[in-house]
Amino acid sequence: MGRKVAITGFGQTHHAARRWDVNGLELIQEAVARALENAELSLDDIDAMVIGNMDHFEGINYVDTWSVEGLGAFLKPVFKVTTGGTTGATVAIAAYYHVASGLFENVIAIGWEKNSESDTTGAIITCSDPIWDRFSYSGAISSLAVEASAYMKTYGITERDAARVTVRDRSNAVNNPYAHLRKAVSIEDVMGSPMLTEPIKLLDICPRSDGAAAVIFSSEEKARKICPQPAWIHAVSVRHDTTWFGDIDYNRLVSLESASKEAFKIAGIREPFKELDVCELYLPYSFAGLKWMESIGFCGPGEAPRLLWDGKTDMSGILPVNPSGGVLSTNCIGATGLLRVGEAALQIMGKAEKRQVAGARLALATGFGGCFWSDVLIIGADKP
Amino acid sequence: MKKVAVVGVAQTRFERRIVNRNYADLIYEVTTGALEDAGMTIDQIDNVITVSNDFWDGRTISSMAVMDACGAYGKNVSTVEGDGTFGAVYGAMRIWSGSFGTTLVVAHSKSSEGSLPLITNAMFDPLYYRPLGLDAISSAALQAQAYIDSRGANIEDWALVSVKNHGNARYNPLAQLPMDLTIDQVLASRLVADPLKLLDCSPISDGACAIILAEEGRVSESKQKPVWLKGVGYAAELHYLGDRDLSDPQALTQAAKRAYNMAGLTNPQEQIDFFEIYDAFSYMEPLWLEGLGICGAGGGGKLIRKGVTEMRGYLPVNSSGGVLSAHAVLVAGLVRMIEVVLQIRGTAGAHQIERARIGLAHGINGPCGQSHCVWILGEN
Amino acid sequence: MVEWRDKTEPLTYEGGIHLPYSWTVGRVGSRFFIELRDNGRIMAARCPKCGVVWVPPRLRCPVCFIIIEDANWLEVGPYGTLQHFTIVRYEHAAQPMEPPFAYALIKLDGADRAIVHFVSGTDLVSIKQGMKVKPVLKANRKGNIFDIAYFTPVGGQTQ
Repeated sequence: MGRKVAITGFGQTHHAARRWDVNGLELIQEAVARALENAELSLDDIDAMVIGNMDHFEGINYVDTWSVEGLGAFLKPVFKVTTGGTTGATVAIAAYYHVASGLFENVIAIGWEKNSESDTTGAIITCSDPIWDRFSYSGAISSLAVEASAYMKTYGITERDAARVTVRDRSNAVNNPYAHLRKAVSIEDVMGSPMLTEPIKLLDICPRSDGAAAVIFSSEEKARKICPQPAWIHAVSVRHDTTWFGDIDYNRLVSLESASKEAFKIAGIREPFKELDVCELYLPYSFAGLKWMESIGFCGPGEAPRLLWDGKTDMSGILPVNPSGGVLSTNCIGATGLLRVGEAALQIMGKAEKRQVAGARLALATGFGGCFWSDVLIIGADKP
Repeated sequence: MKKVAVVGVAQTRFERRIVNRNYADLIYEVTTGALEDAGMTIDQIDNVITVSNDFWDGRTISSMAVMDACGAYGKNVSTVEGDGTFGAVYGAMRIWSGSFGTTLVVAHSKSSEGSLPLITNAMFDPLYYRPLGLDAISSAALQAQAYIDSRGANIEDWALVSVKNHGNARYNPLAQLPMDLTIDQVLASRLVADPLKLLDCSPISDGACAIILAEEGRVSESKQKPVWLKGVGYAAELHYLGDRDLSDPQALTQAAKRAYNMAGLTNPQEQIDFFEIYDAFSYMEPLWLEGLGICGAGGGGKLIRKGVTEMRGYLPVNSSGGVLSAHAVLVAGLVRMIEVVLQIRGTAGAHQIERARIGLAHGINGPCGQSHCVWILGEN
Repeated sequence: MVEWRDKTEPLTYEGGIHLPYSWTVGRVGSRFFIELRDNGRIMAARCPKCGVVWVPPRLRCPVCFIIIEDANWLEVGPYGTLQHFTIVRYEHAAQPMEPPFAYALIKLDGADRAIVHFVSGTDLVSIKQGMKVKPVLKANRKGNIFDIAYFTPVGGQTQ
């Protein structure tokens, strides 16, 4: 894998439907300041920044140059990575490579979004090809609904099965003071919520949030000095294979299967469900919490509901998923994938407070977005 | 840090409007072109970095348009939104990290498809600057004026840049605007935003380019002579124009310092044989030379007047014709790297410089060169 | 090169992205604009560490990154010095003024950094670097950058 890199700090904003008190730059500053505080570092210790968000949600072009003040990046190296919903994960991966390359010692990855500033669906529709796809692509929810319908039909999965995912994530969020939605919900709440696009109901889908996250990546030498328990990067893998929504195999999440396989191989993980201690999965909607568990390889096709109903993925279970509350509780898109990485790192660093999984030493973080693309990171307490 | 080289390159011809090819077509053309140049196949590419911009493409997640065309299927891929020189940084990082042996970096833009003023107006902060209607040209005009007021620059020297670069473009079959100009013609061209005249400004261009990077152990997979990445540096200034001293490109000086350091260059004026720098406007060529430390503050004009920066001069600058002759946004910086590679290989054809062993390539991002990336490449 | 391609009529598809935005100004920016709207004053903030007076005011110093408390806010201007200007002679859809018109970087008295705004209310040929200018405020102000209609030369003075 090359030079060893660890996460040594993580900061996030208090996510909300609308943060009236701060503009985009100030939102970013909040996360950066908190990450520095978390790692007990100052900006002078930081060699470079890398930032990500989805352009059309705030309508700002060249966010790398617009955000210099927000990042504290005056006369520092900075560039922007943007890959749709996967951005948060890919900006983390970029920061990892910044340090692994040997060019820099301490690098901050920043992901942010102020979804309140725009019509989210109107903006996301522009991700589709204007000549062939845009007339029929009506937003993220619809394409996910197609996947969910196929899954239900093939394996007899029910809406109640999916609701169990929401119940888990939303109840975990109660322990996360930064989450946007912090009220637990019941199966009946989910089942009774308004239908948006069959079979996805309001409580099956993530909210839109304003929020930012900042994660500090450090070289082996620096990590040892900064953090008593750094969160070492064991593997990163990205699959952004498809270009057209019509080319997607809605019966599988091929990109996640492929990225997971590669990541597990690099990290030397043979039995992921047994070996991992905690997961922060990018689940933008409830059905993903079933189907994508199978894509990762935690169980066979159609078997995920069993894992959920047996409580195996609850905080008290053998493999807790989304102690932070996940995407169903907070979705500031450019930050969301980075929150998964940061939260997973927090678990390894032992700093997850009320949402800490005791003794977590190996964590999985995933990203999702774009044209059913996926990213996988494996983070551990031992140096790889 | 392991040695990494550029082993394959490709660029499209740059045109005002490429009517019958879309982004994927252009990326496929340069991807296959770079592979052909190197004599490699897509299977030998370990990972891919794409470069695009959502506003220029009119598409959020603009990278989606080219995922298949760049051969990213089944590979690790990511996207930098900024000039291609920054994409090359990320591409090189991935090899330096030890994770990959080769990287393909591709960049595209079709400035013809959107509205340049509206797209560049959108790069300004929406609360204090954007509503005023500033765009790339009017903001550059403010910088040009600051350069005159604070450093004594003059428009005649800039006209010489336009004459030189459009003239050089006659020897570059890919350039969009080869022109035989006189200073008087440049000075007589219509004022766009004082002090900038039409012939001080780069054109709107469509195009794409690609480079293949390989680590030392893999360069033999390419049939081309490797051109080595010797050093890189990048840095950004503050965003609000009013927060900056537009006549002093501090970020460029910082970026150059890092690049020179990494390349082990103690005397860049002597040690660098030639330059490909981002002259989006004529005034930028002397201003960036000052920022690079090739001459002192205010000394850029004199270099140009003395003929030092001509193709046969002592410090050739933009013998390719530069950005003034072809400006596909985001692509143009990476094209500067490609032109440096061609020179060092000795295959630049009609615009070949005699002594080309170490070259400097440069790209910018954001208004008035707010962010700069400097690359040093060499034959060893 | 496949022959049919060059013989095929190159079609285009016209379209656009029409997205409305509602940008959050934030508490600091809001205070700046409210002062401008209600009291016609232009506020700045001085960083307690580096001493630079920034206009518009910021929550954190852009260089030092430390929070600038309310106590460090001060009024600047109204007069200022024109540092550099340009005259725009081309038209586009996002311009609030019809060309030819002038933009300038203006350093308000008491500020260490400049702002950008229009210069108007005078012949364009009379605009000079270094001249003293003052803001012309709109009578009906809304709390945005257009509450200043433009800057105009102060009785022919230059520095």
